[in-house]
Amino acid sequence: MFRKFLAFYCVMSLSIFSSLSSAEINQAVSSDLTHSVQLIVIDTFLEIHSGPGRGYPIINTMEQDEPINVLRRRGSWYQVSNRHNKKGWIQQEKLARTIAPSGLPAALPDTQHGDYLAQQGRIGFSIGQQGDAETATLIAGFRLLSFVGAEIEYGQIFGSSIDGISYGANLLFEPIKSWSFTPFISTGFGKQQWQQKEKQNVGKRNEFNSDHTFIGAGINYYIGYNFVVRGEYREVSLTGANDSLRNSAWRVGFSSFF
Amino acid sequence: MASWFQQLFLIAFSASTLVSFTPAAAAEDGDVEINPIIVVEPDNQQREAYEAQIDSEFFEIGAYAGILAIEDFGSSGVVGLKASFHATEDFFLQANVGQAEAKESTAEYYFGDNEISIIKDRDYNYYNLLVGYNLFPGETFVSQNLTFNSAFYLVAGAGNTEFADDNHFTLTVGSGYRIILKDWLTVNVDFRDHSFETEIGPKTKRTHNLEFSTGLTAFF
Repeated sequence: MFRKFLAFYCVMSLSIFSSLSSAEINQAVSSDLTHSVQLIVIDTFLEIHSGPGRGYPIINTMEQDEPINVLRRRGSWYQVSNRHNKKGWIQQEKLARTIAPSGLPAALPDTQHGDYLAQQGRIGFSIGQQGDAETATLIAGFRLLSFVGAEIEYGQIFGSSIDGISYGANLLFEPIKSWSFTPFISTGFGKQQWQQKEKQNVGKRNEFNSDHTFIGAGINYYIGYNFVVRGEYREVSLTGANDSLRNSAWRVGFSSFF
Repeated sequence: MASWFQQLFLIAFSASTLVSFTPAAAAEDGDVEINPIIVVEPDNQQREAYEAQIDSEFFEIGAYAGILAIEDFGSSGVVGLKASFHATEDFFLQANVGQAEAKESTAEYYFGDNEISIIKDRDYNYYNLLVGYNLFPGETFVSQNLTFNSAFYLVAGAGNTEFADDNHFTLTVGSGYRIILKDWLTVNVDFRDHSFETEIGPKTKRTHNLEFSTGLTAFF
């Protein structure tokens, strides 16, 4: 009886396993077919690197008229495979030298330097100083028009006796389009919530809020296709419940658009 | 008769074709008007667009664990989460969130339990925002038949360290080694210095807190 049960169990589990695995394979094959993009090489040959970067060695070539599959993209590099399922990475500019099986040129998604002026999102961070306090800020932005970008930011301020958080919305005017170093003017408003440090006062923490507005200027330096280093100087006006003051602030930021 | 008729017909036919092939723009007074040449530009819309079909992988998220030497407070285990955005083949942006618990300082250890406590809150929480540069991309040869892509990278940035009931503006610099196990999976080894000014005791001093960690991340 037990043997019979064991045999039945074995057959059942085997059949379930085999059906599962075949289903998985089918799914994988069909998803591969539907998702991968096939292109045909038109240059004499294309060089294939072992990794997504110019520092990785060339391990293979794809010859003229050879069909290649595009598997994934990382930055400006694409992973491709040929008929023999040999995989490798190829630069975007090189992969542009291919055509679709229909004979039309392949339009690959690209983010060229000039394209940062198109409607694009960007994320990044900046570190700097406001008065005597250090700041660390996260930034997310979007290009509204060809020369105006909108941003929101959230950050922390580290003073010696007080610290706080800051959030706000900014506008960035960047009229010049073609330089690697481009100047910009910025303006914005927001709130800063301050808190006296615990060691400064025994008992309850002293908290206060202030509104801020600023005007600033700076330089964006575009590296490669979509990486930006930003240096910025701001004149910040803080308005509290009882008083107001002016602060100068500078910051160095890094961001990327996609 | 027939040949005469044929001749006439041919003349009439050739005259009519000549007339019909003469540019219609030829004015009656004999001036020839030249039409501008129309250049047919390749239609930019006539391209195969693949943006949605190609899997773009810019983000890398993962977790790490290691050892953090908190200056004056011994070494303890640290765990954290990291997220990276790979902007170009050279640069990436990275955010880390980590957590550790400070051990006893030497003074606390000598003077025994609860006799003396330099700090109340022993939790060490931090975050940092870093920019990274892939300095040496290359390959790691594990055996004769097993090779992985790898990269040695540098990172620098800043963030906050919440320690001893205080926030500290923290500068972080470090280096790391990334081995790409599979197309989507990497293992990282990181060595970092978290440096901040602290006011434990009467004076302010800059402490250096060294972290050695290893972790797994996935591209998506």
